Amino acid sequence: MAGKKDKAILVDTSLCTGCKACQLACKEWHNLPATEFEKVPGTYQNPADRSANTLMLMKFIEKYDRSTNTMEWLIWKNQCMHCTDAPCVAVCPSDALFTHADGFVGFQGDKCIGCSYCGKACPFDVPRYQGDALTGKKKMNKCDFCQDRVTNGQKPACVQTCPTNALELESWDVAVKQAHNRVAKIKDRYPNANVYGDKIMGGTHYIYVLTEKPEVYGLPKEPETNELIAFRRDVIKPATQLLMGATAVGFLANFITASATFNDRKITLDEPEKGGEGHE
Amino acid sequence: MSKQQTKLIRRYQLADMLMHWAVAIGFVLALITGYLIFFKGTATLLDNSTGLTLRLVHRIGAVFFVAAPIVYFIFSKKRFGFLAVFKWDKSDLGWLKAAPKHYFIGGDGMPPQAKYNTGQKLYYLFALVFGLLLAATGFALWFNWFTGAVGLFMVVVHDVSALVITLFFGVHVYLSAVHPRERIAFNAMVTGYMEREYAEHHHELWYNKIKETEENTSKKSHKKHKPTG
Repeated sequence: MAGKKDKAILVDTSLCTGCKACQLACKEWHNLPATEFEKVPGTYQNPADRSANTLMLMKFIEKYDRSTNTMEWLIWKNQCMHCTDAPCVAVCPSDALFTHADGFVGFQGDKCIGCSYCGKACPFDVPRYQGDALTGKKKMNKCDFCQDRVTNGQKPACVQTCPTNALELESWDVAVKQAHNRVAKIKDRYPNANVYGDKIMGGTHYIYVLTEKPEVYGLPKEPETNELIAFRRDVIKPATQLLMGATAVGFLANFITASATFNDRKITLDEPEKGGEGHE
Repeated sequence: MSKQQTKLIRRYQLADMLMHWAVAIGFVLALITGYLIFFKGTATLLDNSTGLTLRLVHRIGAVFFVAAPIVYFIFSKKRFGFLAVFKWDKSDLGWLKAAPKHYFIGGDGMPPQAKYNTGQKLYYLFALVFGLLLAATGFALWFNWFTGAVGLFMVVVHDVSALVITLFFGVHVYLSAVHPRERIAFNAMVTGYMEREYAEHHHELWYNKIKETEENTSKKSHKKHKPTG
């Protein structure tokens, strides 16, 4: 479970106006280039999806209810959820992804070798890649919780810039408590309101107040770490080490016994002990 | 020279050897770079461009590993030679039973073997099956054909296939290049020739067949040469 003193970002979608200041602040702080405009019909969303250059994206969903003739405008902030039990950290072969002292999933781009295991492991489909598929010179990029700012006692760029306090940086337990309080307050207007993040993946470091059920936003209701990851770490890796070691020991044992046996005996072949050296 | 030739027997053609060594080089490149990444070598030793280079070398190795057998299959007359690995009979069982003793302290009771003995067939079979799995999952990972759980499954199959093939590769290298008595076999894949006595002892069925054809051709040539010579 997430540590109580971990840092967490509380996202209250009921307070969000969809101004996208956070999306811009993110780009600015991470010094990422603007991308080509992508029209998502009927919404203000741009671009269509996150990329290695767009680490976070405001997503817009328009939900029209015919029975009451009302429209609900669902706007939410989409980026890495910063799991406590992060499968991406478990599979990363170069330690480019790591669990930061403050609990979130930090990322060191220098170390990324572009294997794209993290993208396969992530239950939220967060990692995005940039580079050449043929040569494999790829780099992943994702939200890093503004690790440089947070480590130095500042708020992440998105939190800093949010004009409606829909984003707040808190310690993890305070964020969760506050989220439940907010949900209780808005239950009248949003009967489906819920807290998302406190009970999944060991507790994410983004805690959401959602006005609708997670599925409506396209978020997995019960995201899970694939069992293959634990199997790989706990079975395949030790088995590989053990079997390789055992085979090496077997070769050594064979070499010693076989050398003793076959060097004692006169062998019918000519100069078998020089056999290994070629005729080149 | 002629004395040496009678002592030796042709086992591999140039194409066979080229194919073997291209696959071997490709495999070793991929093996080293693959396990460096598997055991988090890039995290502890190296980072940044070194990790990217490792993955590039892994790909270059993979291309050799996959392309050489394909080229061989297209151009060699012996393209279906690999089917020999599927031919198994009772003598193979006898070989497997007698093998441990034979390779440790020496022992008889090894059934006579064809061009490839049971152990070689077994290695070839594993190389074929797990090599195909490695190649298929490798390309799936290279070009990111699958995401999510299926993608992870590809990683796991790649890991397991690599482990199996690596262990058998170890046995192959050990027996053909290191083992005190068997390492002489290494010469065959380097020069294409094998010593007659070794062939007779290790691949009796194959050796007898070769000897038969040799005798037939020499008889024929003898007859032909008689009038002029």
